[in-house]
Parts: sequence; structure tokens; C-alpha cells
Amino acid sequence: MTSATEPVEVTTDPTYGELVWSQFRKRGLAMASLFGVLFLVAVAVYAPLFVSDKPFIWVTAEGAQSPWLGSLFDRNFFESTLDIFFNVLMVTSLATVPIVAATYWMSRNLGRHGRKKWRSRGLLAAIAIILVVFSAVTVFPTKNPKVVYDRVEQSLIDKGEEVTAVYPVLPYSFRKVNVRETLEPISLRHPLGTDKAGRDVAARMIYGTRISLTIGVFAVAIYITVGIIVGGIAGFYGGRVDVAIQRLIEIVMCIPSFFLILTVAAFIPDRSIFHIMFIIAAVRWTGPARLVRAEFLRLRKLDFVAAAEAAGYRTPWIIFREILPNAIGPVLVSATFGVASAILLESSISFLGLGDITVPSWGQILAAGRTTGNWILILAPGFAIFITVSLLNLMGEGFRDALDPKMRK
Amino acid sequence: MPLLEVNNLQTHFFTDAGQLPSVDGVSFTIDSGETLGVVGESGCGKSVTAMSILRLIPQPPGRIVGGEILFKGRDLAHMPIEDLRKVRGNEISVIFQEPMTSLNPVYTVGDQIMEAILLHQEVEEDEARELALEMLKATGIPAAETRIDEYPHQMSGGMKQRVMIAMALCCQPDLLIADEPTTALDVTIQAQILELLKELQEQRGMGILLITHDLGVVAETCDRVVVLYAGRVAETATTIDLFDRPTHPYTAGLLQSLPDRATAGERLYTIDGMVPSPLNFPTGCRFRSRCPRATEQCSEKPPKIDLGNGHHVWCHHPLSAEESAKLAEGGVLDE
Amino acid sequence: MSDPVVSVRNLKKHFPVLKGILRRQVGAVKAVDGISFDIMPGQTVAMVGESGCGKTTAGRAMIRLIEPNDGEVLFRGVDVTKVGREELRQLRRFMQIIFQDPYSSLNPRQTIGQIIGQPLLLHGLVDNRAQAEQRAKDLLERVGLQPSYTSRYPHEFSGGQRQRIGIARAVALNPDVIICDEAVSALDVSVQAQVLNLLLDLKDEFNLSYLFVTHDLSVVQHVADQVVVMYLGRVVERASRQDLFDAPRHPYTQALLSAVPRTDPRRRRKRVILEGDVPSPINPPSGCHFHTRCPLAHARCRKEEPASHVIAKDHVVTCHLYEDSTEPVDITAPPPTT
Repeated sequence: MTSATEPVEVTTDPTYGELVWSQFRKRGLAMASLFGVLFLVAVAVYAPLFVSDKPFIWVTAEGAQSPWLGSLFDRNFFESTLDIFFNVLMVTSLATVPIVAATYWMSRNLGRHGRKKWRSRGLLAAIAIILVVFSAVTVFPTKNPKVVYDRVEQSLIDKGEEVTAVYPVLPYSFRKVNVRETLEPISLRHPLGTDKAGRDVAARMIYGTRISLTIGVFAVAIYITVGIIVGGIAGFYGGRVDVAIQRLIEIVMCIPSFFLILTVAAFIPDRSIFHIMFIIAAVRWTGPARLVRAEFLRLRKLDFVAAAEAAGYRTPWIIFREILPNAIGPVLVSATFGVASAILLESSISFLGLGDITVPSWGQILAAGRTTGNWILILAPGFAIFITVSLLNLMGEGFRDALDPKMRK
Repeated sequence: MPLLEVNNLQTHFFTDAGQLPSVDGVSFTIDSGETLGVVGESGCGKSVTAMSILRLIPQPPGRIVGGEILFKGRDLAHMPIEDLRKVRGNEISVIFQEPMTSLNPVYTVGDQIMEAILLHQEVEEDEARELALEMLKATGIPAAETRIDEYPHQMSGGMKQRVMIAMALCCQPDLLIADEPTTALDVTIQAQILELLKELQEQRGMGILLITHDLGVVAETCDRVVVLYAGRVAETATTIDLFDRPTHPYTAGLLQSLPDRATAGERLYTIDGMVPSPLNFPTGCRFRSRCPRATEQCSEKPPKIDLGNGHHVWCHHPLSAEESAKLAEGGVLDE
Repeated sequence: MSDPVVSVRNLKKHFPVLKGILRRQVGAVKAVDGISFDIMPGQTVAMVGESGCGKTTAGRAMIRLIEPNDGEVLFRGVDVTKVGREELRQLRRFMQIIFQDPYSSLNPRQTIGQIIGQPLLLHGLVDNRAQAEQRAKDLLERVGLQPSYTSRYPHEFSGGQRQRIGIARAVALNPDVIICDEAVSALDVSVQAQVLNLLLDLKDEFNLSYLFVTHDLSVVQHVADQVVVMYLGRVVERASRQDLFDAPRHPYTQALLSAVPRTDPRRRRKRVILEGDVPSPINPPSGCHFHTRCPLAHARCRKEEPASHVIAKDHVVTCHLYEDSTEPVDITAPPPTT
């Protein structure tokens, strides 16, 4: 008589991620912000499609070629590894985007287990492709001779030869100085004018998206990792370890971080954006550390941790496989806000002239605007920073609400 | 006229998933000086019933969609909320299961009791403090003179429940609704609190509506019992009658499931499955999805059977007199 | 008579009370203060007492979920409290635990299949994931749930179903002893009966011994072979179920039994109502811990710790009143004048 198989009134079985996503989707503003952020990411990845002084197609009497394509992994043209990486993302997206989309689409009717398996496989394949291509172009860098195509084109035409060249919408390099066109006003040729070195502001703004997003994401990734490890240790072990770590956190938090950043930055010669990221991470890890510690302290007392211990699991397993997945939600939310705040911080550092002066970050453009008094150089990056930070914050808020079971819609 | 008469009370919850008929046609009465037990498993609607009386249901999503709640002849279900506030805490008081969370941690217990007194009675503050002290003494709190100035966290669970009782009774209510008042307490403390409630009831002659899942508590303290299942009354009777002649299969199942009914170490009788979610209550008799006696007929609304002396059963296939007698003697029904 | 599967000897757990930023120890909560008992193979021992008596701490200290301060826990002759970490991990397989709260005891981010199957892989009881999954399915079926539930998450189940999953996880490792820490206390009567039946069935099937840690005496009366009554960290009485329920000796045991509401409205007894609360274990009363509430307490109880007196085989009571006599005292009688 005690067959006791009890029916469960669950018709679908969404994964945790799908639950959160379905909640997130119900929040209009957050969804709009998500699309905004995705647009920014697309701008960063596909920047060379819109801005490059290398023509897509170059047909002369000698034959046809695509200097644009050749320039993508060219260390002489894209000097920074960061740009090369984004170019890899752009090129591989021809394969990665279809792979991820296909695994998502094809697994949509599978059970929860199958969905999870196929989707993570798709993502892994995409990441693998990106890494392989990136390693390849890093190990075998290409260096083409520097050719100024528009001048060559002009001289060839002057010679009476026939040249067909198709350029991107903005046929400029974000770096190349052009002394003949300094501080141009807004025109069709230069939608946002030029700066005092004659560089097109719109081109610099678009490439600046790459810098800002990278600094935001990487700085946050560094300090979140540190925060999780430190906070996790404090919360899991408790006692004296916890007391020691908490005091350390308090000491770090007492230091006025902005002045610390300025001081440290001033002592580093030839600052690169990677220095800036590490400096930001060094002062910001305390936030997630405290968050993770609190979550760990709470979760540590729950019986499923005791159950794992009673089953004989080792401590690292318990920390990373049992507790961490339960603590990660709030950390990811704070990461979203953290990206916005890191972008703002980098802009401030660059604005004060302590950033990486070789890259076209928004803060650098802003600083140039301050010294020249050119209002477009102030308004354009200011507006870009404002929009990006707002979008990220709105997205973070939606994310936070979606994770909160009390806010379920 | 009974002190409280609940007629066909219907409290539904309106959620995205649908309309949940958590309480769906519950009727009972309570007289002054009487203790009525409302018993059932979690999800049967007993707390919702109790909270509906003072309209303490969170609204939305909950709403009383039908029935009347006549307290001294006035319908609480349709009374303006300003009038109802004068009844709450004054003529009808509530004590909750969790004494730990029902008291505000930032005020002393004395302040909290005085506040309740000042809200409903026209007395000076000194007088209110005297009354509060008196109440604390009446609930058997030792050294009440010093404890009146303590904060809730300085007290044990049993003491907090005594404070809750003092607060509930300070305005001399005619009806006390006690929602699982001893569930969070240890047995020896539970015995103290139940004894205290009984004493206070004898002194003051108030009616008590006791919500509980514990048939032992019912047997020891209640005069009459309402057995709820899935938002409806399954059986109602005097306590003596219910235990002498349990007639609804659900009552029978509950009694037989008790561990002290079976021979030690032997298998216990069980009711199959669990209380269904209000989203998919069965039609007709709601117990039929778990009832060993269920037939086709049970998909129709069960008839009300009158066994005399206020003993009513809603069932198509009630237990026979012999079966009831066998159960009452502590036996178990054959399958 | 075979040897006990678990012998607890003088087990102690004192929690330090720390103060100040230097966390100096200013006192100790003697949660478990020297308890001893045996669990025989195939036997169910119930540990009863009110909240704060240390029964949960004792259960967890036995398997070192909490490190005990002193005493021995002999599992098949091996002292669990002395073994190293690696050996302890191996031993844990044999001593499992089922928790009270069905909501916090299952990891919300793991599927039921992972929860039950992972420990099997860890201990090498299965060779691969597929086998672990299959074993999890078998166990789910055994505890009365559908095998397909392995791909679901804990939040999709009711309290009773979760408790069944907790049971499946515990028996998966084929242990010798399972500690049931208030395992049925949070469940409704009808579900509690289902789970108790399941535990009784599994006991025979897997040849288990249980330690039932509970405050619910009706459950104790139904499942226990031996009963250990605790009060403020100490064992006050230890006896077979029959002896304990028929003729309880210790005044506390008597009061505890008398406080349980019976489902018989015609026989509402005059109950023994104990005064006051369980005192704080930080500063427990001197002498016999129970003297502040004991109706029969006399001067000696305040000063001297009572010794354990053997009433009969397997029946031990720790009370001054049984120094010379083994006859049960009557706690409703007026206290003796000293």
C-alpha cells in the first residue's frame, strides 16, 4: 500500500540559469540595457569593419588584394595585443557564433541534462577556436610593410593609372597623425572632427570601446577571482583565519583608493592598460571578498555542507563544488556593477594623465579635450562613458532582481 | 448566539499560476469559554482560516471571496477596516507560532505590552505599565518586575511565548486565536504553556481557537475539533466524540499514522501521497486522491452526515460504527 | 552477544566562549559533557532531550562533523576521534547522517543524481558516472521516488520527498550506522509515518544500526531499542525502551514522559509540570544539573554531582535518589525534607 510515489507538479524542468534568464527577460529596462551592452560589445569586436585606413579591396594593374584582411593580424598596424585579440574575435565569430547558436537551437527540445551538456560543449568549442587562432597569430606574428594606401592611391591616380579601392566608412587609422587636418570641426569627412594631432575622433571613440570594455571586464575578473579565494577561505575556515583576513580587508578599505591608484600609477614608467587593470584590481578586491565571506559563513552552517563532509569529500571539493556555486550569484551581480565602476575609474585615471597614453581610451580623449578646449572631445567620450556605465548598471540591477527569489514575477 | 460563527468561509489566493482555493467553504462556531481545535496537516488551510478571521491575509494575493465571519453578530468579513482595527487586539487577539519573530527586537517587552494597552484603552502610561506587569505576572513569568524591562533576545522561547500571551490578553479579549502556539517549544515548556492557556481561559471565560497539527494537543486541551483537509472541513465533533468515533477516512488515517498507535518496531499505517497543491485539488471529495475507500462516487461533492451532538462528517464512504470503535480502542483498520 | 558497532565513551564537546578582538576564551559551553553509550549491530538507539541538551552536538561529534574535545568513539574497535584526516574520510562511508531540515540538507545547485551518485564515485563504489547514475536511480526507486528524478533539482520536491532523497544519499554508501538527526521532526504526521516506515524497512534490508536523535517521545517509543535521555550535556538515564517507558526512574525522564500530550481525551492526566526553562549550558547549575527544576531536589543535589547507578542490565540512572534503592521515585509526591 505504501507505494508512496508522490507526483510532482512540475511540467518543465528549467535549469537554474534558465530560471534566472526567464526572470531577467520580464524586466524591460534591463533587457534593453542588455541589448545596449551587446551592441557596445559588437562595436568593439567589429571596429575594423567600420574604421580602418586599409581598403577592403585594392585593385591596381598589379592585381587585386585585400590590405584590410592582411592588416588584421599585422603587428605593424595593430600594435597592441588587445587589438589583435579583438580582431581574432571578429574573424573567428564567423565560426563561433554559428556553432553556439546551432548547439543552442538544436538542444532546445532535449531534457535539462542534454541542454546543459550540448550548450556547454558549444561554448567550449567556440572558446577553443578563439584560443587556437589567437595563439597562432601570437606565435607567428605577421608584419607587413607600412603602406599609406590613400596617398599611394592618389599618386597612382596622378600617374594616370587605374585604381579601384573600397574603404571602410571611416577610412582612418585611430593612431596615425595627420598634421594637415588638426582640430577640424564636425564635417561629413570627420563626423566628430579631429583632435590636435589630426586623428579622427570618431575612429578613436570606436576603438576606445575596446579599451574601456577590456579594462572593465579584465580588472573585474582579476579582483573577483582574488575576492572569491580570499573571502572563501575566510568564510569557510572562520576563527582566527577569518579575523586576520577581515583585518586585512579593513586596512585595505581604509586607504583612499583613488589616491593610492594615482600614487602607484605615477611611479610606473610606461604604463600600459594592463598596469591600470592590476592597479584597479588591487584596491577593489575587498568588495567581493566581503560578499563571498558573508555568503560562505551563511552556507557553511547549512546541512548540505555537513552532508558533504560526512560523505568524505575533501575540503577543496566542498569549497568549490558545494558552496561556491551557491555563493556565486550575488558576486556576478556585483561584477556587473564593478565593470561599470572600473570603466569610470580608468577614465578618471586617464583624464588626470596617468593612464596609458598610447591607447585611444575614452579617458585619454577626454583629457585631450580638456587641454585643447575642444568641446566635441569632451562631450563625445563623456557621453560614451555615461551611456556605457548606465547600461551596465541597469543590467546589473535587472540581474540582481532576477536572482532575488522575493522579486519573482 | 455563539461568540464566533464562521459560515462558508472562502479565502482564495490569486497568483500567476491560477486561483488557489486555500480555504473553500469552512464553517464552525466557537462559544465563550470554549476551546475549538482546528487540526490538519500543512497545506490544509488551517492557518489561512485563522488569519482570515481578522483579515490578516496578505492582500493581494489573498482575498476572502465568500462567506461571513460573525463575531458577536457583526460580520468581520465585510466590516470597514477602521472598525475591524478596533476589534483586532482588543476583542480578538492572536498569538503566533514563532515567538522569536513576533516580538520587535528593539523594544523592551514591557514597552510592547504597554503599546498594545495604550492602543485600545484610555489609560495613563503609569497605569498601562501596572497592567502590563500584572499580565506578565498572570502568565507566570518569574521576577516580572525586572523582566518587564528586558529585551526579547534576553528571554528563552517559553518566556517569549508567555510575553506574547500577556500581550494578547492585556485587553481582555473575548476570543483568542492561537496559531500553533507551542509547536516551536519543547514538550516540558509546551505543557507549561497549554496549562497556562487553560488557567487563563478559566479565569476570563474567553473562547480559544487553537490551530495545531498535533492530535495529542487537541485531545488534551480542546472541547471541540474541526478536522480540515485541503481547505474544507472533513469532520467536526466534540473532542470526546472525535476520538471515540472517528468517522472520516482522513481522521482515521491521521489517528492510525501516529507512532504511538502501532506496536513498537512494526510498520506504521500511512496515508498514501501528500496533501495536493491548491492548484490541483481533486474535484468532489478532495481527499479521494489519497483515500483507500475512494470510488467513482467520490468525484461528486460529499454529503454532510449528521451523527448527532454536533458531529458532522463530509464523506461518501464514512467508517462504520464498528470500524470507528475499533479505531478508538487503538486498533488499526484492515485494508 | 556480539560486540557493539559503535561505543561512545566519555565524549565531550565544549565550545569556547570568546570575547574581545583578541578572542580570548572567557568560558565554555559544555554542550556535551562526558556521555557514554553503545550501539549494537542492528539496534536503534534513541537519544532524547529538549533543545539545548546537547543531543545534536553529540550526534555530530560522534562522526566528527564537530571535533570532540575528549573521549572515544570506537567504531568496530577503531577510535574515530584519533584517526587522521585520510583515514577519517574512508571511515565516513560507514557512519552516515540524515538531517532534520530537508530544505538545507540538499545542495540546491546539484541534481538529485549528483547528490546521491557523487559520493559513490568518491569512495570507488562504482566505476563511472553511468553506474553512479544507475545506482542513484535504483536507490530513488527504493525510497519510493521515481528513478527519472535524478535529473531534477531539490527545489522541485516537497519536504517529505527531500527527506527520502536524504535517506537515499545516506544508504547509498552502504553504511553500518546512520545517525538520524531529528530526521522526521519537520514532517507532517502522515508523511512522518511514511518516512518512519521506510527507515524501518531499510534497517532490515541493509542491516543498519540507527542513532535517532530526537525530542519526539512518540517516535522514540516506536523505533527505539535503547533510549538515552540527556539533560544539559549529560546522560541522566539509559535504558531499554520497555524499561524506560514502563518504569522511568530519573525525575526528569518521568516529567518528560508526563509532558507528552496523549491522544486520549478521556484520560486527561494531572501532568507533572516542570517549573522554569532549561538553564543555560554556559553556567550550568552546580551538582546535579537538573536540581533547579527537580521537584524532589534536596540539599545534596545542589552540591554533589550524582553518580550513575545500575538499576538493571542496561538500565543506568544518574541520580542521588537511587543510591540505595532501585524502586522508581514518585515525582508528584512532596519533596523530602532534608
